[in-house]
Amino acid sequence: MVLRFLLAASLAGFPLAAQDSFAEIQSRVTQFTLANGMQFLVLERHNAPVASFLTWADVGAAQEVKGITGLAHIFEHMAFKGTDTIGTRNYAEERLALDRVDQAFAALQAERRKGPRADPEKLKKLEADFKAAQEGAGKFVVPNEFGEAITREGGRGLNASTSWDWTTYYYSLPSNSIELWFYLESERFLKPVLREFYKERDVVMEERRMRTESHPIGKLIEEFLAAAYKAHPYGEPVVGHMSDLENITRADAEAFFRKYYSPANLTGVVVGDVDPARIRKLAETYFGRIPGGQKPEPLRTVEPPQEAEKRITLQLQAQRLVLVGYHKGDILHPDHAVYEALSSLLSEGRSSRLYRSLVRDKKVAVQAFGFPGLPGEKYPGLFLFAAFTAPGHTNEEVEKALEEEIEKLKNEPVRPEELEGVKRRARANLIQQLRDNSTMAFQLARWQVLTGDWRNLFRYLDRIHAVTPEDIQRVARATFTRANRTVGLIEPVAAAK
Amino acid sequence: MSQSVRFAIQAAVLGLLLTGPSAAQRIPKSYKDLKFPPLGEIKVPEPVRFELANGMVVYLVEDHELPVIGATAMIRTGARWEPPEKAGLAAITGTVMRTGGSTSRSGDQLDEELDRLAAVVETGIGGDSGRAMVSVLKEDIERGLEILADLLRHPAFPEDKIELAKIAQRDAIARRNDDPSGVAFREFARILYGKNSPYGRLPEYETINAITREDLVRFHREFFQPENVILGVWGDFRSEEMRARIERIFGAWPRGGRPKPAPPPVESRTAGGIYLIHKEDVNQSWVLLGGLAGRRDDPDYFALTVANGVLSWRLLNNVRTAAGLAYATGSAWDAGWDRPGIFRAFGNTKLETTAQILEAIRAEIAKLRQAEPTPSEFTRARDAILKGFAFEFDSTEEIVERIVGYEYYGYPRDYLQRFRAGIEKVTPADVLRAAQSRLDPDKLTVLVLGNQKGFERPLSSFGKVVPWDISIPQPKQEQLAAATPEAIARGKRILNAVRDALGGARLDEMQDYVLEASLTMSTPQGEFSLSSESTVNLQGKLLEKVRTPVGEMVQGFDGKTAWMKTPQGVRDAPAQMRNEIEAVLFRNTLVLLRSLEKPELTVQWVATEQWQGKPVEVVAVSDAARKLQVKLSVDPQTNLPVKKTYAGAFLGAPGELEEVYSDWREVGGLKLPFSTVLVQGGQKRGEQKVTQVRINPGVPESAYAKP
Repeated sequence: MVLRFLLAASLAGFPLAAQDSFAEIQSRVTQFTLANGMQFLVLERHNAPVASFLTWADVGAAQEVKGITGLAHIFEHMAFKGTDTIGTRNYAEERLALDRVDQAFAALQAERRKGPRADPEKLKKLEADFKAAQEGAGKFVVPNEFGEAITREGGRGLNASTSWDWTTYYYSLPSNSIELWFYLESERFLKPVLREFYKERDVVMEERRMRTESHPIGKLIEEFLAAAYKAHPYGEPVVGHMSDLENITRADAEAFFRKYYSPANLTGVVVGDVDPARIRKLAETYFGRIPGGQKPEPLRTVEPPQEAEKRITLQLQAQRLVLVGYHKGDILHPDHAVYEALSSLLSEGRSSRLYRSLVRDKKVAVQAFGFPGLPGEKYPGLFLFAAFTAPGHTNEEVEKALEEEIEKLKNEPVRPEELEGVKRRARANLIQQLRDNSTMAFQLARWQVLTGDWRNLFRYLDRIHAVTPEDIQRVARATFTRANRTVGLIEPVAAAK
Repeated sequence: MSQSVRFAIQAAVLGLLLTGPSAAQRIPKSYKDLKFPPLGEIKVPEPVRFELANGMVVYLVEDHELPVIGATAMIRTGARWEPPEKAGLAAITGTVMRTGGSTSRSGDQLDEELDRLAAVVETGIGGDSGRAMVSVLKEDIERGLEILADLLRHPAFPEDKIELAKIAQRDAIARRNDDPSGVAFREFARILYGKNSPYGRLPEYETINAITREDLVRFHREFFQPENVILGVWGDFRSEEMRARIERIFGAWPRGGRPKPAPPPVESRTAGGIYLIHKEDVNQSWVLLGGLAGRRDDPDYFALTVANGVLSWRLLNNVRTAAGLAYATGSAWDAGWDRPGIFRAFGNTKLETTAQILEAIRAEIAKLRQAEPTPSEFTRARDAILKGFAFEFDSTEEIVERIVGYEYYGYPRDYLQRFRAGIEKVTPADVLRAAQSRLDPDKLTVLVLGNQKGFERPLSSFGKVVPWDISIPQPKQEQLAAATPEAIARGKRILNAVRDALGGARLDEMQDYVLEASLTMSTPQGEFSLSSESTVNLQGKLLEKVRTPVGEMVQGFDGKTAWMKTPQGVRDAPAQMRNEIEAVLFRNTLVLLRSLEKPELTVQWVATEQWQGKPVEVVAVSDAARKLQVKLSVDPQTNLPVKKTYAGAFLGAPGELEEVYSDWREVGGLKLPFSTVLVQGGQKRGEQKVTQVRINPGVPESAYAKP
């Protein structure tokens, strides 16, 4: 009896409760923009003397063109190499040594590009020269001084991440040492020195081998996106093609930096035990030094509507997996919340439709979900269905079962209580995110940069709340069509002993 | 820059900072000159601890920041206490406790209710402990805890959810070698702990198949008693109210009175050795070096933690950054709580620098024993821990999980403070001493996973290499009772009668045959048809052609070489396929009936069973050396086999397969079934319908050889 009452009360009280709690949190957010165009967001949270920092660069693999795939990600790696004062023993001499490395690499590549007509003796000599030049420059390096400075002060979670949509740099510090972030982060984007470029590129090649070439699912996703996109750079891998990695130069990375890392393209976020007035002062002092610049021209290419179903099958020494993707709108699309609701309905919890149908009842898959944002959301992405085919069943059976669920979405309105669950879970998920400083730093930056207003992180709940069964049906009918579909499969070949 | 100039600048900067607000605009020349104020107060919540009358221990920590409540419980159970022949039982029990619901509420009903509430209640059993958790909006905590208590006390363990959990386990077995890094880290632990030990064994098809509902019930009864449960609750509540609620909900759970399980000892003697996992489909190697590490209460633990910090940073600097050899490299001194943990240093690199990275990592470990870390290296490793201490208190959930863990493993509640004090006391000399006594490079075990064909030099240049097999064991054949002379005689009598019924002397004269057929695969969306042609030489040669939409696939075996031909070309058959071809020839009815007197075969009558309402005689034929076995079920009225049963796999799902025969027709003096239905787990999987048979066509032997 009491429970019933509680449940009814909490459902009925939902919109009011949501606004109440989130208004208080929103009042703790401060926003400002420096004269050079760099934006800042600060969220005060004083539960522990720590703070999380994030710089969001509004550039990702989608800004690459053929020949330089992987460059946004390589630059992300290079942004840990220091400056003319951090990471060097003597920059005046190191600078000259770095130029010699570039020259040696250019000479080597020129010979390599002759292919079969390259002179083997000359190649050997040029390789030795290149190695010697790298060793020469290496003498001036204080390795990983940038990262060392942070961990020495108890910094945690130092890392960065590159997607098609963005490049983010982040870590957390005890809140007494926040000035260290302002110092290092502003230096990093004021005068980065891309030392150890070709060694770091080797590291990135290992990353590619790890994530893609020796990894069945990574391999499938790369092929799948290449099939789904014919024009837009969402079809290219973030980590880049091996041949591009082999040929990219330090000059390419510097040009990329100049074009995409002007302060107008950067957003800094601080979440934690901080005083917003002091943050503003520190931001002006440190980041204010970076000269202003233009925001780069937006991407021109738009993926045209898909005209025919596309299908790829990888035969690997791995178990069956099914990906089915449909083109959909970006984060600004009016139906964005409908896609999110669809995903929740299909994938969240054991009462979700795909679990019930594919995993629990038909037993054709061991996991199945629908995800609204691959490869990204800044540009029109895919609504992706993914399922791990159960042993003893075929990928065809899984595709068929997915198809049945999709048809159900098109033909039958969802039950109101299903949609109530979606809305309540959206609120609960948001509350859970508020418990973590670094998650909040990411979310505030994400909504600010991609939609122009961080408040959309909270308004999003109202948008989810407005989704109707008719919306679900309408969007499912418009999106999940055969011609709009790309299918990617792993079929196993027996492992050789 | 001279020391005095640096000092002058520091003094000037400091002076400016102190003079007034405008000075804050000055930026020091180096980040090293930044001066930080003392850290603000770390609020360390004092948890409320109490014990219920039934022995359950509870911790409460209030946190009013957000309107949510979480609970986390550890239960004294784990896979390390499951019977080895039922490996997977603990995991399946943990899963089905939740998915199967309780005796009063089905799992499916719970799924609906919880998802509608946006609440989470989960249970699970890992290697060393059982876990349960609740995460709810605060108004739902009553319901969340009620469900948790109900599941812990009265799980229903329905058969359908057990089967679902078994499917997931079998799937995990099938997929466990797909991701190379997962394989390397898992197998490294198995090498160190012993692959069949409580800390190294894996669930296998065999052990999963052996698990029954009764096993789950027994396992649950053994471990799920209130005195084995430590519950931590945190979030937006008042402690007195929460205490009353917990006493109400969990207080009625009676004590079990069974003894607390003691951790099984680690008995491994593995120290040293070079192990190789050869994997053909990778272009990158994973290299791991390490050995068993101590426990958290080891007196050297603090020094080894700092030593590892130094080593990990050197690996990053030297193996990754300076040499560009690896993307992932580092080390971990992963001490256990109540048993030895694992120390490992690792890196991943392209095949052609595998030996190089192995040497580089080994050299870094050796260096750690040669000299104390430099003051700078030492303070970096130590301060990373000490100055980051505030992060241990930025999440109430983590604080509670930590306290529950300390209680579970018998550590003092202020262990974290003791840990900090221990780290503070470590000196560079301690680091050197600990490394020297605990990191003997000659005793380090090495594991390399990669395609050895691509290594720049053979691993054997480092010493004796032990190949480490990761192939997934298929379920064993059913163990037959030892064959008595009567059972052997009866079995042979029955099969000889079958031989006569199928053609007798005609069969003995037979050399070879060609059988054309249409194959139909049954799937829910309909049936796929393929056409096939099998050519069999009864001496043990085989040629099978299947026409598929993507082209013709051929498999051949000339008695020596098994091969396959696809639109991509001809190659030797992988080992698994070769084994399958040999098994097909072994159980071919005509081949079998001519082999009854072969010494390597055992023929024995097994049982009389019911088949479609009439009795059939079951005869087993086995070849112990080749681990092959097949059973024929014979209709005693007609002496025709009604079905054949054997272990196999259908689409990667291992299990017993049945071939059910019908539509017997006479061809050239022989009797052959024109319909064969393939059945697995009671489900029809496919059917072969014969379209044409040619007896003794005299196919030349060369036809079976690899083209």
